[in-house]
Amino acid sequence: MTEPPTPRAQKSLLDIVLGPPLADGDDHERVGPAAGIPLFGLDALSSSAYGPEAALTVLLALGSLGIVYLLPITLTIVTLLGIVYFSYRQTIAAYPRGGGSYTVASENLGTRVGLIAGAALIVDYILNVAVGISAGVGALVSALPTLHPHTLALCLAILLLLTVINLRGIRESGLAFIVPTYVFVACLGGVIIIGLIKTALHGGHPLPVAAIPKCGPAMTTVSLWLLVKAFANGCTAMTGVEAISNGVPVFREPNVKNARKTLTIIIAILMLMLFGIAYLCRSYGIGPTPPDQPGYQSLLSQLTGAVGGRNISYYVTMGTVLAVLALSPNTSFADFPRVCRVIAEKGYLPYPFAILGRRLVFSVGICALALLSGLLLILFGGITDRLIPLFAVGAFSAFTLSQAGMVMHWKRRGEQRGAPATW
Amino acid sequence: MVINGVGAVATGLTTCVVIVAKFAEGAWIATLAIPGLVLLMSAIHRHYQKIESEIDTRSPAQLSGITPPVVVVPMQSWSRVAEKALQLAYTLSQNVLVLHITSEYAADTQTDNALMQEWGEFIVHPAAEAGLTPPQLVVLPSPYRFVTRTIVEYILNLEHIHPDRLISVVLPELVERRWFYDFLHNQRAALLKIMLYVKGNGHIVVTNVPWYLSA
Repeated sequence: MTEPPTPRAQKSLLDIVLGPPLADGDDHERVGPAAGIPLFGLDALSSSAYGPEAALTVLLALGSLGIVYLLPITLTIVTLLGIVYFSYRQTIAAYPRGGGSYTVASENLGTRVGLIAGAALIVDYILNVAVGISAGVGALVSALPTLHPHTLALCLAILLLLTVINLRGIRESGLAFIVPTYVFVACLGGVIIIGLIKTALHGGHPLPVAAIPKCGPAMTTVSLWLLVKAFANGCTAMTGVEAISNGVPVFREPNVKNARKTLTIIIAILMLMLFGIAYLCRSYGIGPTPPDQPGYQSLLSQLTGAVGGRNISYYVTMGTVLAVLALSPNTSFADFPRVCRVIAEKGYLPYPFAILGRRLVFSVGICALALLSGLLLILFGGITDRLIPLFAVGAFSAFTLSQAGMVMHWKRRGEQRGAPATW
Repeated sequence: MVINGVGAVATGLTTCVVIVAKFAEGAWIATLAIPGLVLLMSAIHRHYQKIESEIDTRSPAQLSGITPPVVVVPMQSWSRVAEKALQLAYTLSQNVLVLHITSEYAADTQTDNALMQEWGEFIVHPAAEAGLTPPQLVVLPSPYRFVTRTIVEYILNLEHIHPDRLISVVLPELVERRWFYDFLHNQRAALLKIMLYVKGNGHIVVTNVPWYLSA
């Protein structure tokens, strides 16, 4: 009779793939703003790649007139983004231990409302993973048509990669996404800045370097309904903004300050990008092309070509757009397990969701997210474009409930102090 | 508060706009999925609460007047594993039953009769020497070679006879160093445990006695 093998005596396969287990209180899993931006901002930032496009596609019917309306619609979205930004700044300060929509709503508006917020976020994150991956793969496949038969396999491979990286831990996933995120921001920022300079030099009407596809004739009738639909589509650009409010404890001390700084940078970049894209589309006269017809070119592809021509920098920029889109579900991976953890601690999801795994992350949540979104990808064969309209609903329900909860929070605080409530 | 209020109103309006504008395109799936998930989470919570109200107690431990269990040790042949199981059985109670299943088919083989022949020398004698009540040998015929079923039926009957006592079933089990060696054994112990728990009335306790193989 022999003793059972002593644990940790040898490196198991899990150790190699996921890294050795981390001890309690290991500060390894804390991040600063530099790693926090890729971790919590990838989703928000990458949505600038499809938000304006989604809005413009609805305006397709208007022909060249549609371009005129993109700017006001984008300005509305940017304003909304600003409002949401200030709200979440407050939430971060009020809930330094992590105040996602679920926490804020259930503490201030009652459990039931909190559950709605939590469910909205859960649905949103699952969809976001499926949509983000398939959007990235879709872009890759349209650039390299030989890969088309392997769409689903590519989607699942990226999902697996994201799952493993996230199981390895927060810090490492932040580090892994630093390079693509910053290269993306630098490239798109460069395109926008050069475009703005050229626009200024040419008195508002710069000449495109690469030819832009012709728009249809301008229509004169504009229905409000169409504009509303375009706005609703453009709002997908705002998904992912709430992720940071749940993740405040992940930041290095002083974590409230660091989280706020990260949020500020993410929102500022996103606003500038959305505005820049819309403004340049108008000055260059870039219109949407029908996505299901030959000769289709994405908005960013047209814009990059028009500003700098189809040279090496064009391909680098488009490459980072692909990378960032495909990796954008990582924000969901960062936040979904945290949402599930909080809900599980209150006994509304199975307890294992609240257990810190070997790498100090909520492994069960990560695996559940991977399984559910993988199921969606398989069900839709890797083409999840039809799911895009679904997923702004969850994000905005969560925004609303979180902020309504904050209103109650301030009100109650004000009453406790016996002073009029102020912000 | 003003900022959050404005934010709530603005995003609330946007939510309505998004739902209305894209309802037909698929937003209805999300508007169904969210309440569905809420119901699921409420059901999970109700279940957890039910468990808690059932097992929660605020009274001190009730430790007087407890009787030792009736211990049942299924045994096919005398072995070191069986010995280990029997040792554990006597730490629990003096009331030990050894269950032995025979069939006509098995009766032809050597091992079957071996246990009955060795019973006195290997088990009864040392038990008496140690001052213990020797175990009772129960031989159960199983004309259809249903080992697990025969054991389960006997134990359920025992539970019925002793409604006021726990029935402790001690199951010897081999533990292999390599998982693929498991294919060389049947997984009777695991199956037996599940069947006893499912069919029993809450008075059955199953204990596994693992034997760690060195090779």
